Amino acid sequence: MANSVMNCGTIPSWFVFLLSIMPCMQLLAATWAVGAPHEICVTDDSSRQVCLPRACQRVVSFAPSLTEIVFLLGAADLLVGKTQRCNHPREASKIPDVGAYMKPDLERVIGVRPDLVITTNDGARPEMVERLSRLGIVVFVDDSRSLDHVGNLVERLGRLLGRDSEARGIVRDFERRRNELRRLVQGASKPTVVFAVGSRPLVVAGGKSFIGSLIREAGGTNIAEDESIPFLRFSIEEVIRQDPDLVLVLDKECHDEECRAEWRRHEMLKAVREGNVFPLDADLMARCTPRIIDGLEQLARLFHPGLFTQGK
Amino acid sequence: MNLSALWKTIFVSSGLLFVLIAVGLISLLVGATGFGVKRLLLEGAGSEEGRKAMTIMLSYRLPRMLLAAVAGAGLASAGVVFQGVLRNPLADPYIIGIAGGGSLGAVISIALLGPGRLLGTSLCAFLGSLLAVGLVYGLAAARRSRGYIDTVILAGVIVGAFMNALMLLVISLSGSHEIQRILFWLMGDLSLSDYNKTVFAGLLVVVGWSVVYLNANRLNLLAVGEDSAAYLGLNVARARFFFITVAAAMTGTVVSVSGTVGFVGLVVPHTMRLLFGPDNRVLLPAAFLGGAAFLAACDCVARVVAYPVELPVGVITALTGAPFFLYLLVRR
Repeated sequence: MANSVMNCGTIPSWFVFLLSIMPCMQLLAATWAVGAPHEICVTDDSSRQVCLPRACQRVVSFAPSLTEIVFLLGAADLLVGKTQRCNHPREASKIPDVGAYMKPDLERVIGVRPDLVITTNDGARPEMVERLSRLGIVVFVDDSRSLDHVGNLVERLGRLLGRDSEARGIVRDFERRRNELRRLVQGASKPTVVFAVGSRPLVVAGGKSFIGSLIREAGGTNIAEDESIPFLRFSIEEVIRQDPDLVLVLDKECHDEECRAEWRRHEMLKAVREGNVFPLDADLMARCTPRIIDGLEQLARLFHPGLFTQGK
Repeated sequence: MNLSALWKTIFVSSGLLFVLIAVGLISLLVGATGFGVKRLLLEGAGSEEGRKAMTIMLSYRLPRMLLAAVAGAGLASAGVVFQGVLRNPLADPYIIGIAGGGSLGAVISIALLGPGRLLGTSLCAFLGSLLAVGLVYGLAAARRSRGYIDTVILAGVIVGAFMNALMLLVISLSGSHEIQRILFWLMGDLSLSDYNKTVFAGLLVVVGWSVVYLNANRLNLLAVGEDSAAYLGLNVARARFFFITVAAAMTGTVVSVSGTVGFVGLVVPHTMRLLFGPDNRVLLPAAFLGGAAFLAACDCVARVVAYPVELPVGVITALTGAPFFLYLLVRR
């Protein structure tokens, strides 16, 4: 074989072979560059192109809100890892943990061999996202901050998980309920509200926070609307000065009776005197998922009790 | 000589008392711009606005200002005592691990014991301080052969570091909500004041301070040197134990009601010493009143400067205390 190669005057067979397959190789290379057929690509909230060769088979979620969406899309069979905080729906407890919220364990994540990791901005630090990408795991980063982003988020996740039709259904339903609510509260008078995320010390949700956007949507006026910081350590004097109609408290810090007792000290507030201090479920209010509509409706009922007497 | 010390004490004390009262009044009247205070002054407590302003001042600002004054007085006085007994200019009330112990107690209460009443946090902080002081004493007693002061300082550093490490461990396992509460507690938080806390802390601080002041002479002797003090007839071991215990109790009380406010216990004693001399008979009243005025003023600033956002008081004490102290150092 080697002798025939050194023979001048005869074109060696291997050369012919190589020549013939070159165009095929070029075609193949071109295809790789463009992307294999049936590849799924979306842009995530950190402006990265997130591409999977085919619909995701194994997904790990780093955030409770995203775990909820996966279940909503009917893709729970694809979920192979979640954080300790992912508590909704109840079936999620059957999925193994890969760490605490905001502190995922890299080893455990690799151990469950995901082809996609979905996370919020808080759920994983940029360094963690880098590490995962370098290990060949595709990462989708979500940075939804308002109700306007929920539909887009569900659609993109639906594409990645191969649940496009379910996603479309969920988004349609979400938008329908949202628009109904908007129509309902449109003309109603807006009560003034203070939303205490923490009571000791007093930390209030400002206009720029997600909760602030919920208050606006449900037809209320946040007394901390104009502040530039999303969650601010607030002066009780300002609350007294504004004297809001409603005081809302996240139940993470205090539960029911204890909460009301804590706020009962502030007799100068008319909300306290009239018994308008309400604890709200933190998991419902703070997660940017389609389920937020339930939270929104709860807020709307509190803000405009008169509009709901017919039973919605 | 006795008489001149007495006159100096009276002179300094009256001056500082005047400052304290001025700070207190300003702190009461300042807040949300105007806020009916003008109405109150002009129309008396009859008008609606006036009554509202009155209630604000009495229910919110007064207990808060009093708590700040009490905390400042306690920290500064304890600082004087520690600096005297340990003869170390870097000694502050937190030097024997009280801050570490108190913080650990508070952090455990916030993170692990769940959303309890605030008294729970204060109590746990106080117990934590007690634990830290107990450990320091235990370590100091175990090393009886070596220098007492070195041992106490070293033990304090070690116990403080250990408690801090435990505290960081608890923090690292906590949720974000607890972390936020813990952070505000660590930076010093006077916004949760009510009369109960103020009276409780006030009593302890005043009693503690009085007891120390009555023994100011002994503190002077200790500050000169342990051997000299012994030759002059002082029971050094008993005096040391007494002073450190009282000062630790005062500090632990303050930490449990206001969190760890830094800088006051270090800078106020030194400032007073630079201004009025090292005689503890003058220094103790000066530190008490000066510390009270300083922290009350800082709390007022923390409340007002970024209204309606409240800044942590510990930030204000450091930002104002440090440049002023540097200025004094340079001047002398």
